[in-house]
Formats: sequence, structure tokens, C-alpha cells
Amino acid sequence: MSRKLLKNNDIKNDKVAEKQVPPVQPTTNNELEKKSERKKKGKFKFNESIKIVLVLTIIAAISASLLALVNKYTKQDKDLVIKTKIEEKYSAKLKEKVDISSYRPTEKTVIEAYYIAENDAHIVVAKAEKSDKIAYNAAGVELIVIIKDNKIEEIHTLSHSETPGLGTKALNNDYYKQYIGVSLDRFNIDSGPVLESPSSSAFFTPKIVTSATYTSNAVHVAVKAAVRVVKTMGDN
Amino acid sequence: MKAKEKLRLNDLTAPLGNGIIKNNATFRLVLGSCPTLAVTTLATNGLGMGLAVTFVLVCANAIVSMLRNLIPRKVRIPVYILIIATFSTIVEMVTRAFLPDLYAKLGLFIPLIVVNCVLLARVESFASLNRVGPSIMDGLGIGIGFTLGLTLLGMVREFLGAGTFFGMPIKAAIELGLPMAIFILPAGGFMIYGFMLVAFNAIIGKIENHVANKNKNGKVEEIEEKKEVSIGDNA
Repeated sequence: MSRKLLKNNDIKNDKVAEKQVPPVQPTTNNELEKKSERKKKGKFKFNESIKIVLVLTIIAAISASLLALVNKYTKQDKDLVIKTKIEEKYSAKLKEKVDISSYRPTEKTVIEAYYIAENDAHIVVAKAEKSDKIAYNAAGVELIVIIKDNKIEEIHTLSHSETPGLGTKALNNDYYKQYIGVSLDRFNIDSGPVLESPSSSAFFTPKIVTSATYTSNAVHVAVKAAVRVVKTMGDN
Repeated sequence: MKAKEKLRLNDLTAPLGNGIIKNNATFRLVLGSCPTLAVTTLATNGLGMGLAVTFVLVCANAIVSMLRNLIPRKVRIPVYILIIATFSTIVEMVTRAFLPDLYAKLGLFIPLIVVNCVLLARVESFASLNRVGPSIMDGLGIGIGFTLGLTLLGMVREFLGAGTFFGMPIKAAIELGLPMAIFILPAGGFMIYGFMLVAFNAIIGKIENHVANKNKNGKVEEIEEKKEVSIGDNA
């Protein structure tokens, strides 16, 4: 029994000894080739990564250059665009531009430009930005409001993104007619973008277009913003 | 190195024709439904958007086809999107500078041309696998088909919803009380789109069946003629 055990132990020891023997270095050509292939695969992955980075960088660089070139020829001067649009809509020539850098408009309104024409009309480009129940779409409503002799003389649309056929019903001359001839004193310029309640008869309350409430509100807010800047900074 | 196959006329005309009718992006492939429904409140808006997409698609197809052997497969989608975004931004800059009215009407949907599935689908499935000529014609065909689809949809919605045709009011329609605002809203847009999908596919289906039957009859006649000839020879 003990001899058998010894034999088994010897066998086990031999197996352990075999496992502990270090691997023999490749000497044949096939083995050398296999080793070099494995090394090449590692290099191949590295080269592929470089190629990916290079291709992406080159395409991005070319795209950026192309966009910069197109931007150079299409960049717009907003003041020039506004001036051109005013000259299209109003017959009197522009005399001077009023400096409004120190003027603080009410919340959610922007005064883009303020000009005085040769006939002493005040031309204001006012924008009502999208807010609660004011303007339906993100770009808001931008109007050219022409004020003369303390009354609104003309209103024109400069830009908007309201829904065609719905919001645009409140952005045409037929809708603006209700503002023509209204005295500036009838506008509550201190209330900010808040609309007057129907009960305040002292102030002008516009008729709102059904299904275009937000756009109608935006028009009123933009007109009030124009009136406010003229009353604050103009000669009225 | 494989020898380049000569380009045949059919390689150029087939993608053009297929893109307009058989693979119409609006009514057959049903791709780009988001801008389709959003901008077709007016026919002019649909036409403008369609032309913008056509330009981007043709340019993107051409560039991707030219670079198809250089773009690594692993990063092909980001590269395609980069190329499409470049041309989409060029369209935005040009329309803002030279077509401000159209730019104001189309608004956010011009920059969103980048994520319009029509472009990525055609670039991935056609331009990346074919030569420059056929790719350009495929872009042109798909673009023209998309433009036609948008314009048609816009015309119907504008007429029913606003009583106008390309901005010109139609007095008879307005007097009859026809304009119904719902057709300008998304719900109405979906309804009109659905009806037009059914109609377009029914018409194309009938045409295809007719052509298939014609070809089948032609082949059957040929086989019968051959049989007669062989019987005659044996006799």
C-alpha cells in the first residue's frame, strides 16, 4: 500500500515538475513567424487609431474652413438690415440715430433701433420676446413703430415666426389699423409686459384676434415698448 | 487592383427616377416626417425646405461618395453627420443673408436639416457604396421627390386651411367658408398626410402591377413563340 502511495506521489511530483519547467524558446521558422504576426497585429490597431483621428481632424478642419469662408460673404450687419427695411416701408428719409445704450427696456422687450426722420417722426424697432401668453413661437415679434405728433402713425412687421394663417392674422395692416392715430398718453407704459385689463378704460385696449391671442398680445407689447422709449427719451 | 467598370447611362438615370417616384422620401420611404408636417403650412415653405434639403443631399452624397474608401467604417456615422452639418449650416447662412423672408418662415427647421433622416439614410445606404455620379443623381432624385412631396402637401393644407394658393387668396374658397384652421394645425396635417400616403401608394402600386403584368405577358409570349419554333423544327 505504502509503495503504491509513494508511486502516486512520485507521479504527482513529476507532473508538478513538468508544470514548473519554463517554456522552451521558439527556434523553428513557423514559430518565429507567428510571433512576428502577433506583434504586427498590435501595431495594426495603433495605426488604425491614428488613421481615424487623422481622417476626423482633416474633415473637421476642411469643414471649419469652408464655413468660415461662407460666413465671410454672408455675414450681415443687423443695423444695415433694419435701416434698409425702414427705408422700404417709410417714405421720409432718416435724419439721425438716437443713442439708446443707456435705456433700460421693460422685461422681455428689446429696442433694436431708434431713428428720427427728416419730418420729425420717431421710428422705433421694438421686439416682444416670447414669454407667458406673449408670442407663440420662439423668435418673438419685431415691429417697426412710427410715431409722429404724439400719435402712432404707422406700424410694420419686421420679423416674426408666428404660425402662418393663424398668428399672422394679427401681423397685417388690417390689424394694425386700430393703433393708427392712438395717442401715446393712452398707453400704460409703466406696466411692463402686462396687458391692461378690460376694466381700465383710461388706457387703449386692442381688439385681440381669436385663435391668435398670443400674437396679438405680442403686437401690443411691442407697440407699448416703442411708445415707452419715445416718451422716455424722445422729444414728446 | 480591380479595374473600374464603365459608367452606363442607366446608372445615372435609374437613381434619379427611383428617387422621384419609387423611392419618394415623403410618401414611400416616409422619412423626414417631422419637417414635412411642420413646414407645410404653406406651399412656398414646403418648396423652400425641399430645395434646401436637395442642395444638402446632393453635396453630402457627392462628398461621401468621393471619400467612401478613405472613411474608416468605425467612425462613418460621425463623419457623415459632420459633412451633412457643414452643408446644412451653409444653407442656413445663405438663406439668412439672401432670402430673409424664407429664413424667417422656416426658422428652426433649416438647422434641423442635419438630423433629417432622409440625408443620413441615403448617405449611409447609397452614397457610401456607390460612385460619385450615381450618388449625385440619387441625391438629386430623392431631393426632387422630397420637394414635390412637401410642395403638394403644402398646397393642399394651404388651400384647405387658409384658402390661398402659394399666398394668393382664392376668393371663391373664402366666400364658401372653406378655410378650416385645423388643416394648418398638426392634427390636420397628419390627416392630410395620411390620405396622401394612401393615394400615392395606391397609384404607384397599380402602375407597378400593370408593368409587372405586362412584363410577365411578354415573357409568356416569348416562351410560347420559342415552343412553336421548336415544334416546327421537329416537324
